[in-house]
Amino acid sequence: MLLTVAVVFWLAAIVRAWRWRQAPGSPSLRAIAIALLSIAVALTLDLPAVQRLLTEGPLQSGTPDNVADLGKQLAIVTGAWACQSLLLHLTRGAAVTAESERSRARLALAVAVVSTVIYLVPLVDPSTARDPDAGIAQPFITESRLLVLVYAGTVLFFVMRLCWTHTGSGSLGSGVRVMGAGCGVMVAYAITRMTYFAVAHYGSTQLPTLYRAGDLLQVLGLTLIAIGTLIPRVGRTLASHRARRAYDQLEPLWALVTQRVPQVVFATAPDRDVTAWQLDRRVIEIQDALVVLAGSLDLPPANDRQDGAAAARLAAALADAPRSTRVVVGGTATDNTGVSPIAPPEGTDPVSWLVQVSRALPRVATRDGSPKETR
Amino acid sequence: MGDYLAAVMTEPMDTGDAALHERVDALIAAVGLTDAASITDVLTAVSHERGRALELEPMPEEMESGDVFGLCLPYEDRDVILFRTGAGSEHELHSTLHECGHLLFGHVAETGQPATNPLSRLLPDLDADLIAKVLARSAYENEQEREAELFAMKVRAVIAAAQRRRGDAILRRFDDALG
Repeated sequence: MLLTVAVVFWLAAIVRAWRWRQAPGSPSLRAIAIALLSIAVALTLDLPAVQRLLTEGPLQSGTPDNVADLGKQLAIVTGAWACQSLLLHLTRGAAVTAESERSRARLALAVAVVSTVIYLVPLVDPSTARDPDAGIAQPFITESRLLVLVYAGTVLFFVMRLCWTHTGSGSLGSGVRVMGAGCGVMVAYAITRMTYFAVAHYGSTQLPTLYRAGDLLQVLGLTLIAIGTLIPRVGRTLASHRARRAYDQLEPLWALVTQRVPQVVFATAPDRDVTAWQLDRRVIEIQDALVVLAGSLDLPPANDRQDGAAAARLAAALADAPRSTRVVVGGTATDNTGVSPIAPPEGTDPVSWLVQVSRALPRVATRDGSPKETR
Repeated sequence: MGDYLAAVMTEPMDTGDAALHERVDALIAAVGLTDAASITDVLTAVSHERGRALELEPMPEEMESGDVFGLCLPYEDRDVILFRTGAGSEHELHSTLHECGHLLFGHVAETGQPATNPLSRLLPDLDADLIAKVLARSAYENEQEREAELFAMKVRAVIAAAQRRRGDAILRRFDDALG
């Protein structure tokens, strides 16, 4: 189970690192990328296979004061520091000062140094040797872990609070909510672990159920955090696919109307998010052209056969769209409700409405026995 | 009008798309619209930058003609934007933002003598000098139109994003971090 969580976390970390590479100037992106990478490293060091490798391998570090365990703690401190930096940039934005960054770095450094020194005391003082019967709750290691847990748990509590008080809509809102829930679970994990270590060490009794509950909370919390950071990106990718499909579906309508009103085409390269830009442009150009053509839709087809056929197909396609019943080609409009023939009904997404009109074009061409081609 | 705007207007125009984007981005930043959450924010910024009132009205039916989707009338004491109705609220917003772009860039009409300006037939009752200054959103044959159109595209995207985030600055930063 831990391996699965580690894989999901590495995926989230790599996605963030890739985004950070694309936008190196974003401090909040940098902070979250470092946080995810640090926790991914901590999870990897916690894997039994990695612990075994480091224990039995060339480092010969021994258990429990081994390199993997200590490395995991330092990775957690690094992740917590990055979360502090994330909190700072999310709440203050451009108002973040170098001093406020430094003060948080100093706190993280102090936690890292003190927890490491405490962890390594038994190596230099034989009188504090490990108690093989104490299991995970070893002298000094317990204190070291408690210090890291308090620091990381406090930071996660503030991240959770921020996530829960700033929920938006769409995939971003969902991602922030899931991430906040994950942080909340991790705070619960930190509390159960602190309780376990305190009771096991100072109360001289083991609480294996509490320890296992902590394991489950860790898996759940970290999974939620990783998924929460991925949701907005996945949402954007899906939105981009939908935009691309809508763009393609609008092609018949766009080609038909811009052939008649070519001056509405705005040929300028986008500077970002090409798909969204292209769709937006296509919609505006269609709407512009429809405004120009609207006046001729109620008139009898022009003498020009090609123009007349195109107008008839356009009018029929608009009439096929929901509530666009005012359009009558070659006759009088029968619906006087004031509904614009070239606008979507109130509350309807203009893109999906125009897609419906565009998809109706081939149908009306077939029905009328007019040319089958829509371009 | 700010120093930046004056500088932009006097610099030679680069017709490349990259330079066009840069000019529009710089204008949006200079007038504080990078976080615009609604058309009201934009209208307020235009009014503030130009130091005069700004009125927004639907284009009267008798003035609707051909491929003119919006008009910008810079009177002595106020600016008036007329937008074409019919294609839905998104299209009206776009046309209005396009005219706002003209006003913020300080564009002037390039159509020459008022007598030959095709807009004079749309605005027969207006003063000839004013007609010479009227800018209409239609085709994109010149740099001014391209700047105004790109301004409308970008600001509309800013407003749409702000509405998704409900105007929450922290959520905008979350979007930067997680998007």
